[in-house]
Amino acid sequence: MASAGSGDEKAAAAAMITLISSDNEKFEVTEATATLSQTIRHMIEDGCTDGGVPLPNVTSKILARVIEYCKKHATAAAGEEGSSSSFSDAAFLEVDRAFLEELEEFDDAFLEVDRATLFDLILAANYLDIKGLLNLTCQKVADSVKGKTPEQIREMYNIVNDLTPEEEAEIRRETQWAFE
Amino acid sequence: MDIMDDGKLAAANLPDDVVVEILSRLPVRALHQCKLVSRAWRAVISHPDHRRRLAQPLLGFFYHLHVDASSPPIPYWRFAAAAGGVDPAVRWFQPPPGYSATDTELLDSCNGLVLLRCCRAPSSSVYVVCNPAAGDWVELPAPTHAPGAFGLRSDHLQGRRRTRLAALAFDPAVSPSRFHVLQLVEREEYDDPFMSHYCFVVEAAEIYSSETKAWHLSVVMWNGYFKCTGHQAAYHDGSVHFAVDDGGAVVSVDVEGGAWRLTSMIPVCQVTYGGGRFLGRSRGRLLYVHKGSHASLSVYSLERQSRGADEQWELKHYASPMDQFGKTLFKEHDAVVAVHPDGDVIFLFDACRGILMAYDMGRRTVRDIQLPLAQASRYYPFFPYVPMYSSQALSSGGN
Repeated sequence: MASAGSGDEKAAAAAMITLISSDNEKFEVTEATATLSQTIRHMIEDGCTDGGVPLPNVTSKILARVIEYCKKHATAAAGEEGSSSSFSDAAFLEVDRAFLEELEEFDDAFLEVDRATLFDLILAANYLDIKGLLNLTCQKVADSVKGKTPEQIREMYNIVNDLTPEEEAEIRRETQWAFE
Repeated sequence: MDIMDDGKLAAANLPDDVVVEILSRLPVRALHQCKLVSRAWRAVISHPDHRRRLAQPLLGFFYHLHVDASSPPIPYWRFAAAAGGVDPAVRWFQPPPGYSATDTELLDSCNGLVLLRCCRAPSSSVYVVCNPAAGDWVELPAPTHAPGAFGLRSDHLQGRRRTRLAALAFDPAVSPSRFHVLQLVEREEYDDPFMSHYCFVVEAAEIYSSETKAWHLSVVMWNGYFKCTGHQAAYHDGSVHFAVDDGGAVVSVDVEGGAWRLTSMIPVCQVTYGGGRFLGRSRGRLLYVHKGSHASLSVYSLERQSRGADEQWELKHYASPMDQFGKTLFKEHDAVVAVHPDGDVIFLFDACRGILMAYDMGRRTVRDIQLPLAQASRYYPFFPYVPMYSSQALSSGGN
């Protein structure tokens, strides 16, 4: 029994991964948290995580936020697996619902960032291939674009209008239905 | 470097695949307005490689031709393009090889897929689901009750039963690789053959799932008869919906669970004219268009006040047949044939002039659509077609 216990502890200790940000800060995370990133999952599978995973595209400020997201959602994923076997159980469903609501609240609060940070999070989620985070952040940008004029969108995201008046007229002609 | 500069840097540096990731979450109208943001965005939105992931506009309509026995052996439908540059595969969409072109009907279109009833030999029809843009198709196994013909064509009577109103249920936003097909099974209202008034009541729905590759029968869940009075059905939010009886009622069948629901509205007009009940999906809502007496038009929308609440029909729009200047908008014989999937537009067909008309609910105006329609049939709806370039939906079907 005792040896089995220490074996478990050993496995848990081995499952820690070190992530290294572009400004050389080190973050210790569990494997469950890290593998929300498909990129890191593949690295672990290939056995090239010894001595830490350098992430030259992600600053420590952004990486800290990304890890915060992954930690929360890794627990959520573990909880889901645990309760799925007794899916018909009303009590479990109630727990699930409360948990999902909490997760939704977390996501909403998580998105309360300035635009620069939001873009950095998108780039990090894209680079690290974290589907849920990419979905969350891209949806936030998409929602902010909906119902805005092209002028407002450019202003919001500092995009320079490089279309000539002729090109603009052409687009309006091509897609007249969209502007009616 | 301050935050503003950071933002500038980030926005300009978003790689194309991330921009597509963001734009793929926009509805089609908002997406196409974004072409005016910059050259880079326009290029991303217009690029053929991104068609699979970005919302596509209404490309046009499939419609049936009014044919008689002397007509040449061609498919009984045409495609009318709403804009130029339509893919030839869509424009010249044909029944899959091996099926008789003269006895193939187009029964429904739903989010890029179309449903056909095809014949290999006389009186042995099968359902075939196609993706015209991707060139894929899959033949469904035979249901228990033979596929019926559309609307007013001859019925396949089998022991006083018939099938009709086949509908396709597919929503790539919910599941890109799964679809359902539903056909209604009706029986004669009176058991006694001498009492027969050729009146049919709905008995069950037979539903095909592309996941199980099998049909299952879902029998009407409550007592009492109802007649299916519309000629078409619409898929929305997991259910196929069709109009029943005369009092403004709609029956919805859940394609996954097979549950039946009945919703009804208090119609503005009791009388129905000109193929007057039409169900269609527009901007994520289910609309019921009712053409009432003196050619008035009422549009209801199925709404849910809050999560978990019952659905209710709400009158969304009412139009008298004349506008404020006394000009006639639509006539009694103008049939409602389609609703715009992403605009506040109802399409009507004027069979006398052979012209498709668009009624704009926002502006309350009607305009003729300049489409070259060759002898469109007045008895079929027009099937709005929004292409889907991903071929995931039919890939697991195996031709």
